[in-house]
Amino acid sequence: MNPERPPNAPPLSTLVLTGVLLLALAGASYGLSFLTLGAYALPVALAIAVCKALILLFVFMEFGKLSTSAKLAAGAALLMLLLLVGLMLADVATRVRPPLPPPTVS
Amino acid sequence: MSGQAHASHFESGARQADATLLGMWLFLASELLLFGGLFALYAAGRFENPSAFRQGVALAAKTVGSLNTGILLVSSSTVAVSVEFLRRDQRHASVICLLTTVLLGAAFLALKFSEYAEHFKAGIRPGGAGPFFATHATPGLALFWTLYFFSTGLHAVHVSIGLLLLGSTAWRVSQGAITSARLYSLQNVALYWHLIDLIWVFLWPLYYLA
Repeated sequence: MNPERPPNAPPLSTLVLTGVLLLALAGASYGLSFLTLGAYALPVALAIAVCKALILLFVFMEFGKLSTSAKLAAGAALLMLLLLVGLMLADVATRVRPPLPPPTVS
Repeated sequence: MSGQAHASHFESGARQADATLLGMWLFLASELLLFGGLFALYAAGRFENPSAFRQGVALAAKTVGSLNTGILLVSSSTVAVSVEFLRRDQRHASVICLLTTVLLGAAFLALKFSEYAEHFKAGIRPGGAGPFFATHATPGLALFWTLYFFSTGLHAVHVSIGLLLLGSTAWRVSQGAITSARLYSLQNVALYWHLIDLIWVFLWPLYYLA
């Protein structure tokens, strides 16, 4: 074994179990998509997606072990993404649409 | 890590590994913003045309998309395991995991292209150009499918690039050009592959499930 292997590197069993957990979450998303959840369908599916993303980020991508500068880079990108989506939604949600003029008869 | 080989302009191997990882994360951040524009467009489009987007999701190939999700999640696991094997200096096992990842990625692309072929056969094309839209004129439906083709197409381009990177990295690991002393070379490719998976984790519910 490499003597310089970091002691906090995830062991093989953790990686395999993480894969199984990710598949289980995907299975849950797939199963739930057949239920009639109405307006909750998208938020529930996205909540499970966020769980999967966090698992990928912290176990497979070892985000917690990154240098502060790398964490800042990733955090800034996430913040910009949330701002982009949030402000775009705020824009379309608050648009005032003037009534259309009546059609002219020629 | 201080004993590993490093470029002359780095004070140590550890510093080189840190700089390389920082560069990779900056690149991943830019990739996230690239897809961010498409996610923002989806959010606005769905807000304005909720029923058309639900109709689009109902027509999407849910089974194929879900199978692809499973394939990508497993491939993320195999690439993570390959990094761990190289950390332990088990080069052969690392290469096998990388090649498994390549096969899984290729299977993803094959399924993706079969899905596109089905949509094209049904007359669904980007920009609302296909005959499907002559009979399905719901406002917003063409936007859904255009975003679907752009988002999943851009993702497929990334998968293709990832496959090339994984293949060449597998070759370099097998030749001993990448060892545990230069683990970051493999880690960076693995990070890129995980990002591809991460983006798909969100594309899947948005375009196939809900």
